[in-house]
Amino acid sequence: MSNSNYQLFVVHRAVSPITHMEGTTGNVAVLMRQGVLYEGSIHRVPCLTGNAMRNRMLREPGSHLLKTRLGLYGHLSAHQDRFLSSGQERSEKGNSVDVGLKRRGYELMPHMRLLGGTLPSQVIEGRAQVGFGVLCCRESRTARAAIIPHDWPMEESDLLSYQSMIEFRQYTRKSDDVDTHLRDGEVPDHSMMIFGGYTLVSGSVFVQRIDMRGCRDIDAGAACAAIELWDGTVGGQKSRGHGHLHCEYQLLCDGATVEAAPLIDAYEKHVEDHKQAAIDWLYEAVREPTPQGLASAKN
Amino acid sequence: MLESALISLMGCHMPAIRDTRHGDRHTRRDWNGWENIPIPIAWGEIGGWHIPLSSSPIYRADSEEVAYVTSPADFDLDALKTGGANKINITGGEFKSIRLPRRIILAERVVWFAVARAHGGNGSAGSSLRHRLRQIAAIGQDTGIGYGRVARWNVDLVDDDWSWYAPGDISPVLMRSLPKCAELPADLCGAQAWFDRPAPPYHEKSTACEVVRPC
Repeated sequence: MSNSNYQLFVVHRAVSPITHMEGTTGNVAVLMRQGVLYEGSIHRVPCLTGNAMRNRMLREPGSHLLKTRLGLYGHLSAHQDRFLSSGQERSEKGNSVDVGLKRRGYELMPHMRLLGGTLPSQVIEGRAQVGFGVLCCRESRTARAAIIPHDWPMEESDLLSYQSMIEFRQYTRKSDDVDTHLRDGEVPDHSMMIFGGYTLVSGSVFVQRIDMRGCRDIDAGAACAAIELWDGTVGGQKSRGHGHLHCEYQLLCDGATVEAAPLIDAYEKHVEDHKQAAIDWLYEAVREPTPQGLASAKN
Repeated sequence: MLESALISLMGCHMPAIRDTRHGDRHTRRDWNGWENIPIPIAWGEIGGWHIPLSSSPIYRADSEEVAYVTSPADFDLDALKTGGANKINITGGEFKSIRLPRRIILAERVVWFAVARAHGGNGSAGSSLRHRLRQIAAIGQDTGIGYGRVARWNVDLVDDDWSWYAPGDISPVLMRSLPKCAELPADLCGAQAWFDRPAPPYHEKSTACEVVRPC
């Protein structure tokens, strides 16, 4: 099976205000931003971080697909779930690489070959380089030019400044049933808790590039299958309707556009064909740490 | 940084040069042989070391800041088997959530001076270098989550070799870490004594020695 260099170009269009935050000041959420150079000065432009997109767009839906197809729901330890859902952390000290285990894992689990993970005593590197989602605004021209295909238009004349895309939202939270818990003589407190933060307006567009170098067709299929399963949300407050994105993508293999559907089918067939072997590998590779292993990892 | 990126790219073709039968300590000679790795950068020899003819990265940091890389401890409760642990500690221990600071430098361009060499095919040294560089989409740490993206590589041909030393107003200026030895120019400027690894593999502790590095 030959390896190729795949690239995914993704366009996200916000269908609700985006609240992907980098922290808080008091009770105000601050938007995640990246510095970009524009006309000799630095602008802090809102962005979607590669770390968040790697987890929300690829790892979570990809692990959900695996857990569903392999029938793993209700049968995983905390370590095994963590390995599939977020990559896990090292829990044992070790200075050797089990090449056979790693190779079998790569063969059986394209999801892991794509995103990597950490077994108790060794790190398994992934092939995907998930780029930042760069906001399409006047100031981000250089950053966008670095990631989008050369034949994509770079219409500049009607782009707004990022400053005009940021707005403030505020919510209040009030507990209505507090009166029922009052004792005789207590005065009800009807003050409301205010919380809020900055958001990026609906209709904002982000472009993103994901590089997958030295990947098989089924590895690229794993990425596309995860994107198809993704619920399109990023950032916080999604239970209140924030952070919903409409996503479109284009898959390139060694520079030429390819159809994603056959690769997704190939990946799903691979998962089905290697179902038992993948389960056996997971239980063998991600075992419960021993007390001795945990102690040595801390030293 | 350039050469380490290239070498990690080509690492699968690295000849086996370690011999662990005689213990873990290696002399500098044990590691010489990396110049045979087919990268389009020429190598030179100084003080018994084979060193790539490439300068350190030169850039102007337009901004320096700290970004936080987080990894929350989320668990899919539906996936966990019954009878497992009832409580999972996420503020310490093996499932601790992390929020690690990363020093971020925003630089418009990074420049290296290097001596290219042709390898394979019929192309020139410059075209070999361009071909290899085009395959590198990102450099530095955390490239898996979007840092270190390279917009494009430009290779400009120049006549002078400024890979190790560049001409200064008074005396040669050091351009990369080199082993401290008698072969260094006596009037070298822009250099400070350090203890580091002057040649690949840069992660290998046993290659650390007295060096001079640019300052």
